[in-house]
Amino acid sequence: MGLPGRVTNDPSNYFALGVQGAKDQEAGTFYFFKHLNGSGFDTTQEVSREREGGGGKEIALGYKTMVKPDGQVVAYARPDAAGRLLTYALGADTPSFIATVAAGVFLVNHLIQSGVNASLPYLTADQAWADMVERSTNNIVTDLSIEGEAGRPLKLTAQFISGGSVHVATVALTPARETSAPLMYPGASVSLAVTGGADAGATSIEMTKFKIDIKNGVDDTIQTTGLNREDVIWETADYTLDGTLKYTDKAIWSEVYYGGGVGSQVQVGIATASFNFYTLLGQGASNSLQMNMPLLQVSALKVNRLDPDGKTMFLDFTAGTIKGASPSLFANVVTGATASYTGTAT
Amino acid sequence: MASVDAVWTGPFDAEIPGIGSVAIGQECEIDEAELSSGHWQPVQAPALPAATAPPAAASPVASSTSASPTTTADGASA
Repeated sequence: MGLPGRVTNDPSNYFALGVQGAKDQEAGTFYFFKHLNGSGFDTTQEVSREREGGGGKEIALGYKTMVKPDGQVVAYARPDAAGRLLTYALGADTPSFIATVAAGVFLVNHLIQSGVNASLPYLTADQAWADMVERSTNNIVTDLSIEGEAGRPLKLTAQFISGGSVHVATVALTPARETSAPLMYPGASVSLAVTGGADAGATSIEMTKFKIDIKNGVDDTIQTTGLNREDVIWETADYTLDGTLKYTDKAIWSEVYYGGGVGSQVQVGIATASFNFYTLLGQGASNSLQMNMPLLQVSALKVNRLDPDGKTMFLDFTAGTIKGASPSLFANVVTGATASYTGTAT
Repeated sequence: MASVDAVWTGPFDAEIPGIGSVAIGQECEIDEAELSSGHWQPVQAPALPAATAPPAAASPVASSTSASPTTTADGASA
């Protein structure tokens, strides 16, 4: 007699991340995402299969050389989820008390900044699917994208790489998930200000979509006597922004290519820009998310200028931050969490 | 598995299978093992105030239990 099959949306399924107190020290408190499709880690095995004397034409020896329990989590940006993933990707979170809402309920601003901490928090990933529970350790976030699109919730996609072991967990956890609605793009305040020369620059608030990408370059080749990586070390950070603006006039185009209203030749210097995004959780709500990139350089700008079929004109831009004295990417996330997201108890 | 009364400490309002929606500060009866999640604070059982205990029953018990160690201590020190 056979057993019934399984589905991918069993109510007991979950994906969770928890902050470790130290490398090789598994997290005790986890945040369970309202995950979207594509979430979870896969344990990829690298194997070597070789021919040896005596084996004739066939493979005579096989063994594993490495296991890589890497993955990603995809979720809409609820306040706590956004605060956590931004902190995991940028490394620094400074909470500051705003107000007491009710007994034991607080409003706290989390200032999450790039360029402050020299290391990223190690994370333990725990996932349950069908009748399996797996756990991987020493993960760090190597890529986080925050996408805003007309009419849609903000979407977070965080990729992580494990610098530790993967094993079967002894027991499935009880997932406790954030009940808040997602932070939405509709109702947000969005602006991109571009300056290419000595003039005042140009600003657009007519942005149809944007994507912030935090890319943490790591050394993921550290392997000692284990099959797993022994560590993952953060080495570089790239913060980029791309998006689409409704074309209204030549102002931004002139800034990016010709130095603004003061020039008619292509300038050597790259046009600088600043980006600000702010959204409230909803009408009358206090929870919010602000993301700001004040030190951008616009590396590319394209327009769909000629089309006999008649299309609305849009500007597609790509920009990246450049190191300055202040953080080139920071976020303010207002949530109820009183402790820093870099801590182990949240 | 033993159950305990505990308060959901957040930091966010949550949906929990088997419990439902809980708000920060809400008290629920949960499986004791869930305390290890770090999100629950056990509710301390209130100590019985002396005034609420029946005097007739409390007095002999209190006097006998308190008398024994006192006697022993006195005897030991004497």
